[in-house]
Amino acid sequence: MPPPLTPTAASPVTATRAAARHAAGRRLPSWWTWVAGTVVGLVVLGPGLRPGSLLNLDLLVTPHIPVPNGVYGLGPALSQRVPSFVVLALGSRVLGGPLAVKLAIVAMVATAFVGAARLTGPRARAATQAAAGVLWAAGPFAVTRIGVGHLNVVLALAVLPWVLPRLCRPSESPWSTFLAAGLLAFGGPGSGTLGVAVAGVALLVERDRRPVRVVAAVGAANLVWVLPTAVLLWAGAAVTGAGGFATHPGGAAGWFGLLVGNGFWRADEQVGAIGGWGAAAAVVLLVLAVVGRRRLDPRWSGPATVVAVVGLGLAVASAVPGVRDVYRWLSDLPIGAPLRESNRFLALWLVVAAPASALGGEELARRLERRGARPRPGADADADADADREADADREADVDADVDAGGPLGVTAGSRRSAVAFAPVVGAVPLALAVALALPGWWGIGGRLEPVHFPAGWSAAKAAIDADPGPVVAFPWSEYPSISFADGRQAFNPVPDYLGGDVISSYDPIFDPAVPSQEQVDHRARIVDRLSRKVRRGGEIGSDLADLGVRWIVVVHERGWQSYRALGADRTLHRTVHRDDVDLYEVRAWKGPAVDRSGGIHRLDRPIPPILFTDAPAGSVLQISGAPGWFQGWFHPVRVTADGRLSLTREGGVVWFWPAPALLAFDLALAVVALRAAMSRHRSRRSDMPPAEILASDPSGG
Amino acid sequence: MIRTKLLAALLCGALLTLFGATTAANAADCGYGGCPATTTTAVGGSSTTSEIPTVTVVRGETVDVAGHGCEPGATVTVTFDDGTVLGTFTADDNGDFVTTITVPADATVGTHLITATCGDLQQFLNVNVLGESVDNTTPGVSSGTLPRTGSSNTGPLVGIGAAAVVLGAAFVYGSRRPRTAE
Repeated sequence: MPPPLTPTAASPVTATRAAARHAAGRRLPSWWTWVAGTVVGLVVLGPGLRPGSLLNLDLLVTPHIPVPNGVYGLGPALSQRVPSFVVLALGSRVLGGPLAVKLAIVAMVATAFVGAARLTGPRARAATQAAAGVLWAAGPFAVTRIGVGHLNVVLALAVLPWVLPRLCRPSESPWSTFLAAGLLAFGGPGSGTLGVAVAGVALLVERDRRPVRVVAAVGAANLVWVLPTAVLLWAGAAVTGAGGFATHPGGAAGWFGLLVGNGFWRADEQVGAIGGWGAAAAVVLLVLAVVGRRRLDPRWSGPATVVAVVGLGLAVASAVPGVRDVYRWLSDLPIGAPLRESNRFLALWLVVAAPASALGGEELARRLERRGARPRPGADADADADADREADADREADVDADVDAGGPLGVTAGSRRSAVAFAPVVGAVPLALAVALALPGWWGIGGRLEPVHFPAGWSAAKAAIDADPGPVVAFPWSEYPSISFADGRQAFNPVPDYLGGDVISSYDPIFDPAVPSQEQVDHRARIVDRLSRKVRRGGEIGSDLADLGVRWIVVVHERGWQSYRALGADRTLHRTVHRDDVDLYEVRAWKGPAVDRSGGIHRLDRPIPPILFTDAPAGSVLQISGAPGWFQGWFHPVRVTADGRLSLTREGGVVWFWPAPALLAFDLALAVVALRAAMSRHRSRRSDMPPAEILASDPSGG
Repeated sequence: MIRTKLLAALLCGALLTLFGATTAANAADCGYGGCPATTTTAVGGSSTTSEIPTVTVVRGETVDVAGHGCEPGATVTVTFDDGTVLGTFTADDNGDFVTTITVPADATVGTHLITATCGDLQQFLNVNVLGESVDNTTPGVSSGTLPRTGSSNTGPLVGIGAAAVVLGAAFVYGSRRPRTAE
């Protein structure tokens, strides 16, 4: 409730009570943004709300989402999903994978919408809040990321507007900074690095900075994904350089389109903000953002503006000739790896530009309204007082500026009426442009969220493997195959997630067809890479796979499967499942899960990925992917064979991956620290404010 | 009355949103970044990066493929990116080869990678595969094309329409204000 202002004879606001109510806009209950955000989330999902899985590029939603191995520091590849996908994996056990992910997407869009709406301030009109919310939570940048399944970036969109005010003043309260950075780090490297960038830039422009505390707080919060990544890099995982992920403006107009979310590195996946129309909208919104920037909360708008410009600069840097070579060199360095995929940093620009442009429209509308307000000498004092109370809800400085600009005097009645009539139109421009930009992404993001159902043969193959488990090779050998039952959309190979367990599949992004590169720790994949070429030339590979400890070959009938027909004539294989959509072969010479030197077979239990139990003697080979860090007992490291399996150095027992408990213990400790920090903050402030609101609005930070 | 018109306008905008703006995502093959645009060739201790050329062709039609650097008389195998062997040929005495291959009639529309392999050497060509041409000639009509009756990209138009709906609604709202205020 804003404090009442005392009307004076010189007050420039002389509209009637009704006019003032119009000028101030109708106040809606505070929960309306949650309702609107949820509706927007549902509309974006559209047909995706129907039952079924989702497949498009990195959007891989199978019926059961596995806990990402990265949380244990295990491969096969670097995980972008740590630790947030642990929650989705647990949710999928209750709700099923598709429903859990769809609910998460709606929740994230709604939270992002409300967060952006809140950045416009408590006095902003509903249309202003809606414009900021739509532009941020359902604009071209957001729907593109939802469509390609970069859910960690979508999580950042949900969190960033809430924590931006806190991260823009990182030194005020390191504990709050820790919590704010931790919420972003929960999404993994894709979102955690955004928090690091905000806090880092804000620290540089802050007056009373406490760099050691801030670095410690932000650094500790991000260890939740840094440590697993470090373990995987130590084990041998690789990262492709930034060259393949450069921002893609796509023509002269596209450079302007960057201002509203254009530039995803795969042009065919970019939604909205394309071409001349996107450029025109971007320019208008940029002008409005310049006008509206001063209406942002001054407690954080200064650093936030610098953050926005830096974010835009990082996004553009990978595309500008000359600069892009430097950027690529930088991002190819181990320490520069977080800079990969620079278009992601556009979020730092948009989180400021969205509310600023929305407020810019409102600001211009208010100026028009004041210009059109008719003087009414003799109006009763109560009416004027009410008018002042509502219309002066915006800042007094704005009113003064209008008086300086001329005020209502000297304006004809006709132009006053026109000004009043057009004021809502001007005020609605940000919302209109936001809707227009976001619209191509609504209702399923151009078919990308169309639900899919895995063919019946897949479940038959899964049932056979579950009945007699063993390592599986997934053919066709492709990391991102086109999926026929997903309308031909290209998607991350769903076979490993669908089958679960130990599946060897390709992790070659094919940025250069002449240079095979398996971005994974699992050395068995390099051998299968060669064998895939052998079978495509018509060779037999059953005995080779037996030597590698592989039990099953699953060939899903997707693009290119015909080139694996030689498997059907391979006498060393037995075709177990033969359907229209899948073939499953068992390697006849497969020996067992643990094989000793004399060929004897032994027991191997694996209740969770980082722990094994076996009764095999020293020298036995375990048919699982090996990596440095496996131990027998407390002090005996397990050897990794040349083909990437584990070889025991002493009599069996418990075999464990030592980084896993360390990582889990650290995660737990971090969660406890975060909980304690949140509780101590909660006690120290008004009891009716939720923690997220505290992060966003508390000026003291104490 | 104004309220009714406003509702009608908003309904039209919603319908445009639901049915007008849906465009299927391209089904590009190859890798994470679509088909690669460059490739690296290692010669001695250094490596050179070269562009992979792109040609556009209708599926089921032919493409001329030329290359060099093979051993004289070496066998050259040309494959599609799904592994289909498109043909096997022999390099000439200079190690060059020129041949014609047919793009599979069942190839998906979009960009595909064709690979020519001789020994350890691989050479590449991107083909942008289009759908079949529509035969729009009918008995009695010797020539001519079907009239173009729609747009291939309605997204911006629908967006502008939606923006116009929002602005129109705001104008209707604003035009009523002076009467209310006075």
